[in-house]
Amino acid sequence: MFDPDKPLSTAAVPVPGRFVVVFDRPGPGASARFGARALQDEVPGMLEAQGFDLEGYFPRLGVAVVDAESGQLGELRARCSSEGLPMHIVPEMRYRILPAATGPEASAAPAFADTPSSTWGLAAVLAAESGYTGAGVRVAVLDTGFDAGHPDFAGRDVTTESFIDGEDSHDGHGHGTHCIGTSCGPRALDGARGYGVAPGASIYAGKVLGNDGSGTDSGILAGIDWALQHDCHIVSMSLGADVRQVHPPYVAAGRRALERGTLIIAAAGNNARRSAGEPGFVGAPANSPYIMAVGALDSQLAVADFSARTLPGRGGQVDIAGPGVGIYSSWPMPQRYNTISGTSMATPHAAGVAALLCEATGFRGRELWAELAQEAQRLERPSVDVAAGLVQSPPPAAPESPAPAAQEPAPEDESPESYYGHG
Amino acid sequence: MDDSGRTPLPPSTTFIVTVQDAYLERVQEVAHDLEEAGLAIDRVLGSLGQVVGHAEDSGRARLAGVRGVASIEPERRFGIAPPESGLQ
Repeated sequence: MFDPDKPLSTAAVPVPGRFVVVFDRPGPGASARFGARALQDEVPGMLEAQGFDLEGYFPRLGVAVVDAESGQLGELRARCSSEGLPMHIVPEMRYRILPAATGPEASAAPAFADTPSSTWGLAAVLAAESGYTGAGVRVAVLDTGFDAGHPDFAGRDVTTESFIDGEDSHDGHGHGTHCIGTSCGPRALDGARGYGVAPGASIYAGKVLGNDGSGTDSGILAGIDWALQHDCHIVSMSLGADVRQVHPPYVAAGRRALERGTLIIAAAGNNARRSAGEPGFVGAPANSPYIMAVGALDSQLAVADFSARTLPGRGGQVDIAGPGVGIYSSWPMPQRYNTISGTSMATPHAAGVAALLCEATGFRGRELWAELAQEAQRLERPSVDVAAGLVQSPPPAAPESPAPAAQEPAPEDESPESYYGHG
Repeated sequence: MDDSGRTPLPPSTTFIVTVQDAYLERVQEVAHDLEEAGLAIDRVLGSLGQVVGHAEDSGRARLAGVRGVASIEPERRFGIAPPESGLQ
């Protein structure tokens, strides 16, 4: 019975004598030793041989809930260890319903700021903490081109192409070099501020906007086609038009790109003036259903005043958010650096994080899209503005830990949360 | 010939033609048929399954009827703010 005077507790408590055996390890990069077939065919026999009841074994999950004593668990550990099969054991927990929230969560929003060595955007997406750099991942940035002679990119793997008649791939505007800096520039610089999320990625700079900052479908689609020819994992497009209509060519382009394992990420748009009561709308091509739309956050993780809101209708949603206010990054020489704002700056943050997640998990296309959304930090903001939340880089890969010793079953030493997290 | 004035060239529009999934392996074939139907081809995007070209506005319906065509849309223009703008 519900007792209103009894304080509700959500703490889970262990059930005596009951344990959960989890085969396989959590997180990306987990061993493939336990495929679905092994969980179906090999594990039940082994459990039975060790004296466990199969009633609580869920082969599709690779999880067994068992009655056991620590000696029996130790034997199971020893057997799995000897066969090189990853597993771990945690106490079964009893859970209770969640209590109603007692008021607005007064979680003070973290305020990020640029430091002498790093931008606030890198800090917000946890780039520095990630062991990944985007190595082996090809990122196409379709924009105003690139200053390939920029000293911060010396020695980098850069491929350029121009789809603008009469202009080479050099960036005569600045926008393209800035976006490439955020997605793929250096994360750390000797005595200077690092600003790039995925400094190990290969850069494909496609010029689809002229030095005047404008371009057409034919150049943009040719740029996407070029990125597909190079089997780029990610295409970053910080461009758009403030039109509500979904433009059919990008529906086909986004879908066909995903089918080939290429994720297209585009800027939601800067047509909001929230302070004046205008939330704006996601424009083309980001409003296409198969293109990921990125909204912009400020350093308090509030929605940027200009960041466009979800457009009603299929595909018109903001899908994720990234740092987009006061973003410091590379600019064509001799200026070298510039600090600007826009969903154009949020987009390459998302593209860079996508490159890190791609490297960490091997996921591409739709799976990479899902991984970006799943790993994003939820924000207490309207979903129509930030959707899945702030893009987050993958944590460093867990070091290969030796199989637990048979003599130390001690399941109570295992954190009950250990198999919920991501490594 | 009447020399009172030359007929101006009819206005030409750039179109993005998307081919049907079933024709993805035969984009060149569709492009050829589009050309026969009056499209001046600018680019054939083989990986995407799209053809970029220009034609008179009035020719759109005929192009849309070419076998293997999923959609035909007039080209759009996109733009970003000038470099000196703080909002991009």
